[in-house]
Amino acid sequence: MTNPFEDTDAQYLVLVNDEGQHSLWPATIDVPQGWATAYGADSRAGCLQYVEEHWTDMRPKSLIDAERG
Amino acid sequence: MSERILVDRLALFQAEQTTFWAGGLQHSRAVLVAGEIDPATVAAACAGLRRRHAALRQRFDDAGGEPRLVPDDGGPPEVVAGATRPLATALAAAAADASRRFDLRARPGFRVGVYPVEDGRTLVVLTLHAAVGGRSAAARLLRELGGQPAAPLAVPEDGPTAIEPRQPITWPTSRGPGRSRGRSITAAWSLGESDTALLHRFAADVGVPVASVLRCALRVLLFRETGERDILIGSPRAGHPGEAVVTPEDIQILPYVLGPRIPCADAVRAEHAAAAHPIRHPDALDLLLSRASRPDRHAGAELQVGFRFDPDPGPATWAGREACDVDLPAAHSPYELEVEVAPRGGLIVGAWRGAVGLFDEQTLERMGRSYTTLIRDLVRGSAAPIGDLDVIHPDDRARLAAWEAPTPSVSGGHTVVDLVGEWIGRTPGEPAVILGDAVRTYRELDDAASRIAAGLRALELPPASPVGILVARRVELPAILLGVARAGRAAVPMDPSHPVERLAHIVGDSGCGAVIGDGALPDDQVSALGAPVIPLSGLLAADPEPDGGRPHPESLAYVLYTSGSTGRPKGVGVTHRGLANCLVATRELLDFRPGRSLLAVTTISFDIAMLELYLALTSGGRTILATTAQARSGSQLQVVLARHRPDIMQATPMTWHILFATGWPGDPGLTVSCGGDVVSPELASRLTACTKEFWHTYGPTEASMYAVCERLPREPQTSVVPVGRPLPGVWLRIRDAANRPVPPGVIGELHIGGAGVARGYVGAPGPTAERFVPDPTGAGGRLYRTGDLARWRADGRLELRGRNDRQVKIRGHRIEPDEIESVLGRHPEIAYAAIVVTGHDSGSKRIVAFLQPRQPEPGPDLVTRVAAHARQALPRYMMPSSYALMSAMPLTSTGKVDRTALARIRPPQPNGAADDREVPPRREPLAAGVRPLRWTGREDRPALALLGGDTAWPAPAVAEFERWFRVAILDVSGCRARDVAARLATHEAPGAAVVLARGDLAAMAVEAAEDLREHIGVAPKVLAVEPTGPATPEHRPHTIISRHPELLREWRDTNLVLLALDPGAAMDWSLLASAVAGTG
Repeated sequence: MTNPFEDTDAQYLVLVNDEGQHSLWPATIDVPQGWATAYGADSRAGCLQYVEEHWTDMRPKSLIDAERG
Repeated sequence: MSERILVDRLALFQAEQTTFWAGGLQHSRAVLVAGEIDPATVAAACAGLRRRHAALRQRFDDAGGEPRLVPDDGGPPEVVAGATRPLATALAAAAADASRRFDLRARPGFRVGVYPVEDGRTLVVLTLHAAVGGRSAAARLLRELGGQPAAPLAVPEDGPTAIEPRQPITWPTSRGPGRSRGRSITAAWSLGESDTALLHRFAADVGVPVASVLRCALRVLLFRETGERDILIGSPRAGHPGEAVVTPEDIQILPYVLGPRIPCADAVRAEHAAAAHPIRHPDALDLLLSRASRPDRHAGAELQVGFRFDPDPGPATWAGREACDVDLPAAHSPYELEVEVAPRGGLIVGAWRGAVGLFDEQTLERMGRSYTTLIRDLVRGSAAPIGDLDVIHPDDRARLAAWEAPTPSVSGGHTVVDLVGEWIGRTPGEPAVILGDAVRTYRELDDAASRIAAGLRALELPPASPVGILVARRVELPAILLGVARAGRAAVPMDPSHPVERLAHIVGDSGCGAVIGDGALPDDQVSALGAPVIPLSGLLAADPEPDGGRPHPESLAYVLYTSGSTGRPKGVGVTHRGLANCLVATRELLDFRPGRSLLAVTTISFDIAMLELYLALTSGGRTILATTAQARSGSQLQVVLARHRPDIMQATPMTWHILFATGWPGDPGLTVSCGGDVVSPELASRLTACTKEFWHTYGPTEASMYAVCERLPREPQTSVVPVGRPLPGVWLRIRDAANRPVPPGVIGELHIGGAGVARGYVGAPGPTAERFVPDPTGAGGRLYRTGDLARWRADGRLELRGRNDRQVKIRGHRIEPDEIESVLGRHPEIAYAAIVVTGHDSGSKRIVAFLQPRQPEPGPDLVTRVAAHARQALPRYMMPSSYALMSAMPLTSTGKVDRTALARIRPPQPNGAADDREVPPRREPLAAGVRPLRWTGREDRPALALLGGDTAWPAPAVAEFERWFRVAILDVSGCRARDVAARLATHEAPGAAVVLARGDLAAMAVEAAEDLREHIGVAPKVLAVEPTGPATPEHRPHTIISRHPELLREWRDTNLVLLALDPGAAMDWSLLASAVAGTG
């Protein structure tokens, strides 16, 4: 059975948590608590492209706030 | 007729005669009868049985080891009469008698036992040797013994007899390959009344017998336990022709490839349909009976699992009295795993039997619970696909929840700056860092760190840019790290011995604003780094910063580069929270207190160096630094250990092996920790025996060093050494390939959560989003998907079981073959490169590169050019040790490079003199159009042997040899010629050994080594000393001989060098080291 996290042909979501951290998630599995869908469903490549374009500052939000304040 | 069949069948045992005569598989049936039974009456009834069944009137003659069936002389049948006992004791006595081996030479393999029970009942047991009959035959004979005629049996149709060979199943247990010798342990199992009623209703609804439902459920469970969809299940054939005659049991094989996504009812029907066409494997019983004697041959590996559904409820009356069937705990099973089920009253009862050495009782009981859970889910009409049924019993779910529970971080909001700062304030005059004669107190450490922090702040580097560290191993190293942290910067520690191309990639990829240097990197390479290099001396001359900075716990402490599967090393960004949690947790676990010391041996380009450098400093203790040369040398390390008497040292398994190889006796005052690679049970036993404490550790860079560790008890180690429990603040989850939790004990991918989870891959949000995944059970947290396979042992300790991808560990180094392939493939003359890692254990693993040139006739020295290109980009531990040129790559049916086929190709000889050597003929043809050009190769790390004339090898020289070349020496010079092969074959890691042989023995050793290579794929290298004696062209020792060490410089690209050394002459190891190792 193909690992749903490694299947290049499957559909994915891009999830984001409160810290702004992005993660790929198989579209067939329920979105876990504490995460929101930011993009998708789309192909793996499409989701990765979204992540590369939108997660440009990889610091967690709490750190960004602390360093700003 | 039946006698002929039996004789023919037994002729197949010829190779397994020893096992046959030693006794083997036996089948028993037992019945508990109301009232007393006179053993004499039973003996008389036995005589009647013998009259009716020819098989009970025959025994075996030993014809030169071969069993020959002959008529028995008619002596009294074997009837055991027990004493009156309580039921439990009577059952145990009966089980012991039933397991006792038959003397088949003396009498037929047939035994009856009569055991009076204190409550007035009597236990009657009938046992048959498998060569006489199976379990159903035993049931029939027992019934007959009680005066009832046997019921007629149906005869099924024959099916096909072909069987595809396949890989043996890997069981979810901590044991190695089976050496059970047929012995098994048993866990009783039963299904409750309401579930049994639902099972019957489900079977009726689906339209199949209950047996098919139960077998299908077993198949689904095995799929979830092992990931295998097409396990063959052996089952006794339902009946035999010739009702009156007892014959050995026929085993039929029930094949069915499970489709995990199909609905439950369809899967059960398909399972049932498959049983209508069983494979009649003519030798199945023989394979099973003889398996125990030849585990190495995987005899009958295709029949590891047995399923027996026994609809025969046993006699309700026996000898005219009320009776009930009793299950004796059988001590034998021909299978590795056998499940027996039977309807009894309103229940389904049965047993799980597992081979001794493969299964333990807890695993069998847990599998039984999973089986029950799965059946419950199945018969309640679950709409889920059959592969998704629940297999975790509520009790096991609770255990998992306890083992995988999140725990709070132990470092709070503190960072390493606070943790070290505490001791700077409390014990400023105490020694903090020691290297050789140089000592730095906490006050001096503070002063240097303050100056470095101030100097870095004065540079006004771009915000958030990290600072590279590229210095020799020196006493200021901890101060540099601390200074970088106080300046609010992440450190990027690098090893100056790595190729400058790799260093430049790291500097550029991490966005280093500056690199702290001390001249360790040659000036002409500094400019290639792409970032300003700040001299350490200048920073140390800055005015100390009065008030040190305090980094945020979520900011990055360091960025470390590991091998990347995308072809470039990737930088892991680790936070201060992760670093501090690991330091505090380890400090508490090891009870690290002021006054204690740690010997740091690891280069700073490994993350574990952060623990080595900081742990003592966060505890008020001393960090003792070993130099690079000391860390690589067993004998020098011993000197350092003896001089400084550290309390703790951590290192990879290889370093401990080197220490032992150079005669280190251990140290009862030293706490050691070891991880980063597989720790063998032998190493674990040795370290626990000769040190104060041995801590086994595990943790990927992405989880901030240690994630799991434990102190190993001083006791015999299991074949897989467990790594313990997670550190405080760290939690683990084990998931199967479909991201479902697995039952305790089942192997799955390890996920790590908690304070140690790294921020991600620096500058690589995509790969970070792929590997750092949402924690489905935590609110917004992430887990790192390690790619490491692991399982929970029944005692809640973690066991590591390899990788689910191509990543390998070679001598402690984490290596992605994709990265090497990518580097080789970037050479303009190479069309395609594939890497295969050969060797079985960490010590003997080697990297073999297969290259497909762009031009069909590549110019000379292509390999030399490619190797030189690779040296520009790869650290030495990632360099291939040999190369092979291919005209085309073998491809799989899906068009991918078939690395399995490549791995079967005999690896190139690591022989510099063999440039023109032709490829040896392959046993299997290559794919069409593939023509291997020729092997050519050289060892990245030449080996070197000593010639001692007629004197013995000087022990220090041998130790040095082992140290430099990280191989074990096998001296066969004292062997008799005929013992050479045996000496080689019994070596634990023949691929990592070098054989020193003299005279005629050289040719003998080469021949024996080649034999080993044929059989197991690896072989020792053979070095001959003069005179080499007669050597045929095929069996040439892998040597080049010189009496002039300086000539070695010209032989850098050869592999094995034999050096003539006059006895007693001083050896200039530094000269040799530079000549041999200085390949750059």
